[in-house]
Amino acid sequence: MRGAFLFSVLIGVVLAVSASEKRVSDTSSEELFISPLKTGHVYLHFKFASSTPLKAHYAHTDYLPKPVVDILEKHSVDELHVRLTQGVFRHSKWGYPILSAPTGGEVWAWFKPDAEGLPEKWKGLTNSLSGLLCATFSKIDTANSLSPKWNFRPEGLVPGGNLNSSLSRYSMLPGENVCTENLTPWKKLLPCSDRAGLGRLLNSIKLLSAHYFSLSLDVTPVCADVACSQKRLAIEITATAVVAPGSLQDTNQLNWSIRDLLEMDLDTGCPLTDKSHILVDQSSQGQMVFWPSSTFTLTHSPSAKGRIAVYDLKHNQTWEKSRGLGGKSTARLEHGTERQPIISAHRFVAGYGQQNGGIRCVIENTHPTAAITVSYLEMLPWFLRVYFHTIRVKSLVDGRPIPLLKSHFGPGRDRLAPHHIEVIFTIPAATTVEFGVDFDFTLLKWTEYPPDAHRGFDVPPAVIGVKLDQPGGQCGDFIFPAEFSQLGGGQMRDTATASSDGQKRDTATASSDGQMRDTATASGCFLRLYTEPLLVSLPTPDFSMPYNVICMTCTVLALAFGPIHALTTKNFKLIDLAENPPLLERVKRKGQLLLTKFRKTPPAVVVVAAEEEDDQQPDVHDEDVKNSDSE
Amino acid sequence: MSNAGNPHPPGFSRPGAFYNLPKLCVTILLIVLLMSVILSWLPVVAQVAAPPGSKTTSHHTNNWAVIVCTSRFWFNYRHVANALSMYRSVKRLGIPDSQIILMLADDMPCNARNPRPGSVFNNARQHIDVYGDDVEVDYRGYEVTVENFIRLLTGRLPPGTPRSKQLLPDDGSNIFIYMTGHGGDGFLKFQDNEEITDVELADAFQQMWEKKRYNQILFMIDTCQAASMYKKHYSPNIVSIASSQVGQDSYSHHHDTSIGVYVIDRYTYYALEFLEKITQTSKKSLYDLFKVCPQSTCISTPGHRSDLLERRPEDILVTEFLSGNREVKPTHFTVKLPDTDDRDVNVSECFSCNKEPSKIDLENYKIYSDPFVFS
Repeated sequence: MRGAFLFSVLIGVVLAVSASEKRVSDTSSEELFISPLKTGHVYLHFKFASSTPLKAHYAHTDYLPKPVVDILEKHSVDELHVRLTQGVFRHSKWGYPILSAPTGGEVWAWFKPDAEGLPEKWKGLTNSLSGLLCATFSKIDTANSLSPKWNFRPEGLVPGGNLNSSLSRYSMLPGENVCTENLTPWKKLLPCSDRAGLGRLLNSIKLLSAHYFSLSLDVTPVCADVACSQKRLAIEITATAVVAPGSLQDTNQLNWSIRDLLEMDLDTGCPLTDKSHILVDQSSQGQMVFWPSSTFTLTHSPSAKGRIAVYDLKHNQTWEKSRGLGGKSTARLEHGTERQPIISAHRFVAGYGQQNGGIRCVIENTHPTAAITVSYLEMLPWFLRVYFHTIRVKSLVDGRPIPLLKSHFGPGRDRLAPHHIEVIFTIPAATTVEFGVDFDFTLLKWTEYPPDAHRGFDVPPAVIGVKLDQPGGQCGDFIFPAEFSQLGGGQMRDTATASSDGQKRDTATASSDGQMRDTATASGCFLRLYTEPLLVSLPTPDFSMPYNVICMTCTVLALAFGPIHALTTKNFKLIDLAENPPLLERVKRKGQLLLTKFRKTPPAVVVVAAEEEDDQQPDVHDEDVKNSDSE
Repeated sequence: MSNAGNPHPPGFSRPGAFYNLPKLCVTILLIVLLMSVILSWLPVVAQVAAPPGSKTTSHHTNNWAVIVCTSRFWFNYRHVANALSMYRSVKRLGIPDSQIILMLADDMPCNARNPRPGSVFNNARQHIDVYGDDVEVDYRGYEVTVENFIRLLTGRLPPGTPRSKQLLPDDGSNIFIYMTGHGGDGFLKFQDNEEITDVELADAFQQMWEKKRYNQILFMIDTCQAASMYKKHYSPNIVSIASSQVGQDSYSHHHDTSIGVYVIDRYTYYALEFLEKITQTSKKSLYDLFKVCPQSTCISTPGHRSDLLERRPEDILVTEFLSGNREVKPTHFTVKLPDTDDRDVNVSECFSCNKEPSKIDLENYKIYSDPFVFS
């Protein structure tokens, strides 16, 4: 605590001096947070943050990526969050990440209150992002986006201080792939790109082989300090990966180094950034030897056992040439020990067959005494016809229904809007509850099936927002020392939310005068969880060539069968048409014709066939032929 | 044409037939029609029939590349490797990513089946990682459709399309268009779902010519019966190369047991081998490119067509299409640049400067007091 304070003052002074020399108004910092996990994996969290004074128009930026700023300005965006993720973060094994993200792509934006034509702006924004990050965000339209009611509140400053959720748009693309083509343009947004500093460590081949890999871009208007004397636009670009060191199998001991994990060597920091730090969490893995010894160790505030080693790349950090940065556990790994996260969720497709199905989401509260209120958001595609009356939340312990505190249902419209289900309910202590909803499957139009329709259709993950009563302000198992993010000028978005009354995301905040805020005032933290995305199989026609050949052959056979059957089973008689029928007969026929006209019944083809000489059609009904026979 | 009308109707020789007005009218109409058809063909004929070698230099001012892999699914790994081979070559030779449109119908490098995530190799021995560490895919997955491809070529993209997804050439552009996938006589399949036909492609090129969207086009296609895709071209200045003749299949080169599928196609494999030796100063001509894969190595017979060109393929350098080289003309006189003041005026005409600044009251931005309280 005292160390942190001293350090913050020290850095503050250094920054004040350096800021007076530089004439740039932007600040920029880079951080890498490393946490060895009990499962033998290593959690890496790269964070590149920069900020500039909040303006109406940005003609120039020093460190902020200009393309991003231009996109925000053009589409009147106040706040923007983009995630691109591959894999699922295993909460039961790895805990909660610093930044949650759903599998695939996610975009979420708050527009300025004066933005006109929001649907066009949203379309324009996603198109621009699609070009900027090489992702298929251009596939986002009204059919897969909605305005969340409670789950996605702004994380930064809000014009006028009040909310109008119709100004927000949210969308997920669960089938999105994340690959080097996304990482390449993403790296180009960093002040030093991948040329210097921590950006150099972003080795695509190593990161993409990771068990979990996530990229994010967050833009928020924030306060520069607790008193909010200056407002700034902050951009945070992060990359998160859970990687497994290669040497684990041999010794069953976690032995990792940056060189082994990323095949890159550490360098000095990016010269354009104000700060460049590597933080190593030394507490999450019990017995581990780390090298080199850090210049500074931070004991983070909420739990005294937490210890984080800090390596400052700016101040002549020397790395051992042979080993770089790393750690080695002294005890063998204990496999199979699972964490007990306070809240966890899993989602499944229910039902069978191709007519109807459902979704069940099981949410578990493991806290022994505290009930937890969650906000559950489900965005179901329009082609699942949801029956809203089937929505139910029940306790799996005693089967009793859980009352909904608040609910919002937005019915989907074919090809235009998804089904929007947002409910808030309280899970009693040590209870598992199940959320369920039923739906029918739809047959799509012929051209609406994707080329790989038989793979199934992606259903985006459900989002669970929860406010935990956890001291410390951060819900994550990785307590990211907030002091670090604040020092560069104190403009990180955490400050913005922390400075108001009781609802803070983070409390270990250095205020402008360098005093640490009392962490005891923390009343909770916000945690967002994503469930697994789902694949549902809709009734899909068989598009394969054999099937189509079979269909055509059957049609031809069916068409041929009629005439052939008639030819082979009917008894054909010659009628001498030259012979004049008697007058009475002719009158009778005329009368019959007249009668049929009045009755509006089908005319007796017998007569017509007999009269119209050889105009007999091959597809004359069997009955008609029979009639002619009987005549 | 002979069926369109008989020039000597039987009534013509009879005396007094000139007074047969309706017949005369029809005859005159027919002659006018015939003449107009012939006249409309004349300029094209003149262009096509221009003596080869009359133009010796390319006169292009910029280069573009459109590289398309139309195949989805893991077993078509080789088609992605084909497209990425060409992407690698044009990028190595100096065409920037902003001038390359890369369309990949499926994600092979990060496919769950790929044992080496983030890489695609041209060879089972992993000689060249054609995907590389610095790649930008402009159209991917479901975005690769016939409609998007035709719109891209002809410049009819919907408003709001990001710049990286637009082909923005002019009449000084040399465009390299490479396509690979599964094809047949006169078509190329997109994603096993739809097809582009030879006629559609030829018409798209003609539209590009009429809209002054190219100077010259090098069209290369690696698919079965590939030559059928260039037979219908009728616009000037297009040179085409195909991996196989009509009626022939194109063959893959070899397979890799670690990925379980074929790695690359024969034609592209040898084309890449040829291109790897090309540098920006190479003097290899298109004629050399025609010969990269003789039948003995390709099994299929590669085809080429250069009758739409004004120049002989021997005179055209490969680097005119595949590299960022431009023609540079030194002048003998001093070019006067506009004064600083003039340039300032130009700057003020820029898009964002003229725009009215947003009327947002920044002072009004406040902390939203209860960000995460639900109830």
